[in-house]
Amino acid sequence: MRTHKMNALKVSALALAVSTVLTGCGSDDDAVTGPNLAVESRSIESASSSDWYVAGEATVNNNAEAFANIVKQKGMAKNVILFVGDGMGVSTVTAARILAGQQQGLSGEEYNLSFDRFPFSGLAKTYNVDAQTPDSAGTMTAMMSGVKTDAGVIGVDEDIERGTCSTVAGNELVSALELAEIAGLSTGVISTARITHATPAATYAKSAERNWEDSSDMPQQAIDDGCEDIASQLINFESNLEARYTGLDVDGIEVVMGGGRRHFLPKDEAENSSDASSSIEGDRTDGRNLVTEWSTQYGNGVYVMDQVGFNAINTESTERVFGLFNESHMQYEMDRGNDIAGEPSLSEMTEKAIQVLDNNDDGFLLVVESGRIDHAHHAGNAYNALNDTIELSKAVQIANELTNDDDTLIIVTADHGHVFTIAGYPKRGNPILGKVVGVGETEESLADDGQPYTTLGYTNGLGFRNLGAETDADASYGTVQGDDSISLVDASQLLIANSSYNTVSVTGRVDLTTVDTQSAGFHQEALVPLSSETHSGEDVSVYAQGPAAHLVNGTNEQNLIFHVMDYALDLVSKADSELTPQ
Amino acid sequence: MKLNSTLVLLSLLLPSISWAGSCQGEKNGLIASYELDTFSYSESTETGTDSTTPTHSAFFNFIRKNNNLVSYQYPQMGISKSWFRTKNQRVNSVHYFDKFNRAIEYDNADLPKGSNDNWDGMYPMISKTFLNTMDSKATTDDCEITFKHKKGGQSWDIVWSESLNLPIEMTHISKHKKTILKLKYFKNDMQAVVARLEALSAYQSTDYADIGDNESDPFLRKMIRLGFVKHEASGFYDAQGNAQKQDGHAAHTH
Repeated sequence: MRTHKMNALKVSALALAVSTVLTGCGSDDDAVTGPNLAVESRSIESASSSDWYVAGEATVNNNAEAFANIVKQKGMAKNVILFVGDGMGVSTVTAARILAGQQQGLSGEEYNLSFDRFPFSGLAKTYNVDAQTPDSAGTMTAMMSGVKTDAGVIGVDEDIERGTCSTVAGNELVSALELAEIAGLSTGVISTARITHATPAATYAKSAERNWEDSSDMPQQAIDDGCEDIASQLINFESNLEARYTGLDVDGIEVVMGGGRRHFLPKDEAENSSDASSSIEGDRTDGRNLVTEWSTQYGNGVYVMDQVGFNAINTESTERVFGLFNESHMQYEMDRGNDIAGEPSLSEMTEKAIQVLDNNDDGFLLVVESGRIDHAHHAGNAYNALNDTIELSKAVQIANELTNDDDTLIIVTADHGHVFTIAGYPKRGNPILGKVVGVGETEESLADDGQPYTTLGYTNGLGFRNLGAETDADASYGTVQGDDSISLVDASQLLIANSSYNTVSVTGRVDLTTVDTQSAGFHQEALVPLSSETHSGEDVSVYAQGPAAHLVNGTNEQNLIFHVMDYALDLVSKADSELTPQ
Repeated sequence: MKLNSTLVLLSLLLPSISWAGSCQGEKNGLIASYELDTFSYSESTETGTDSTTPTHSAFFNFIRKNNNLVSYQYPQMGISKSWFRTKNQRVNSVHYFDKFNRAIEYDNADLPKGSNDNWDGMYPMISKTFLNTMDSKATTDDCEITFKHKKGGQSWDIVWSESLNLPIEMTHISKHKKTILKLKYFKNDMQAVVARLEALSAYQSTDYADIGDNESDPFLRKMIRLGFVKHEASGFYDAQGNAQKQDGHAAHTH
């Protein structure tokens, strides 16, 4: 076993810097007469009666109490739940918080998402070893293994050469999920993306290329060199882990739920599910049906692929669940109603997973990804990014309600941010998806070009789209643009397939005067024209509650998150005690 | 321009069109080859065109596997576009790029709003809804219907095959352009249809939703540079990967 032989975690001393800024002290005469203590005294009195003052004071007291009471000793947590909002940068959290509040009739700014109320938080530096602006594969590997690595690779260290199978051997990392398995905890992975997508894959797989999701995605050389596709690694997780250590006996991942059915089914129309969204649902070219293999391997397991099957799961009697709810990614939360066979929400999956996993008295490790925040941002659509963030907040809230703060560490973070901004000077309570209306104003503010502008925007990407009630952010990618294509479509419906489904960037300014920017299909303006909006290189927030949550503070490398989980569960020590390395 | 050899061969093997007895033709498992000629149009000339030589000629193959899967193949440009209708009547599409053996998959979510309604136009090539709005309709025999329509400075003359559920010929005149579409060959051959679709499905595919996470992919980078997912592109490419305007000229890069 390599890399995780880390003993003492350097815990920086936590310093609670409490500063109360008293406003209104002094007067214009101060320079002549010196401090006017009477005035200052009245100002303090006035401030202390302010709701802001009272609330701030109460928060400090609560935080002090929380720090005093937090379980600080190593290995005291029974359970750990890691929530990852893919692409949920700080500005996304802020905007989602405001939207969530406004959806409840509030101004919004004062509202808190469930994890905003967590007592501890810090910042994580997200860069990959070889990239200033990271991708999910490298960042999630850092969080799950404690080691930063290159962009695009899964569960392997920086000595890997991306896309070269032969460089994997000897560079594999051990993930927290594997350590939890070895330590006897129950384990689970949930994502609204394909379960073989980079973020969830980093919990269980080792791959030189994030896109090797099934056998058809791999070059023959990689197959010949013995690399296993990511979906197969998920199904063979138990045997693969046991093969690495003499005498190890684990029971495999108890809960797996997400999208990506295509990577588990053979490329055979006869194997299509009732939820197929392609003529041939499966992509596998090796003839294997991994769903069948999983069912054979786990006779006591329950495989589900739709809402009805999901709802029927008896969480008290079910030992193991495998849910694949979509051929590719699951739907955006606001688009779930359009799914063919119906699929559960992230919060529903989280609830079900915890109810299954908590049947193990030894505890569990659960990783939950809200995978489509990232996709909505890439499409330049704040509406779905924010609503999926709100759904993540709901999932965290449910996890909080179903677990005990004394024995369950919950961490909420993002793998990276996006070039998503909250800008202008909108007045308090201005609709966060709307156009800027200044403080004290009722009319929309106008930019120097005489046109209104939105509070939310992107630095790059496809730019303006107005798809009205369209709830799927990705719809923007296919917008028919250009006179030629429109003439073919609109004029006669002739040769509809000839119409150009290319994506046309509309960056720069667009007259939004008559555009409803709060509609589901509105895509914010962007500055730099790119086919797809990009990740950002800024830090992301980390929120924590429960045993060892106090270790989440300050600004740290992202791989610290693994070490916080390890500290809380004492994972490495527990796993080491179970192992006799080969 | 390099032609896709498979499709050229496919076209050559198809029988010349013969309408006699075609009324019994099977609508599925169908391969049809069309010629599409575009002329500059001027009302001042007797023929309506400045020249008998088209400004642009193209051909494409239409493949219909069944009620829920059709494919349009453009061998001159080395691309194909397949359309699939799901159980809940939503339409998905896959665009194939022969030169790269790559494909981009568009979930219904990725397609323009209204794509679901447009299945009516994808499956028979010309929307039945549109045909039903035409000014005149004449049944010429048991299998063919002639439609004529004028609207907004445009006109359509269409000969429609009910048995194939496809157009046999169509002349469309707009302001400065006259387009003539002709069915040149057709064949019912489910085996060939399946073989062609399987060949396409062997291409390495990427979800459009995943492009944002894959800009290090050389193919996607190339497509972006060429303009497939960038401003001013037509979405059509020749065998060399050059973007083309709908009229066949190379797209301008801005």
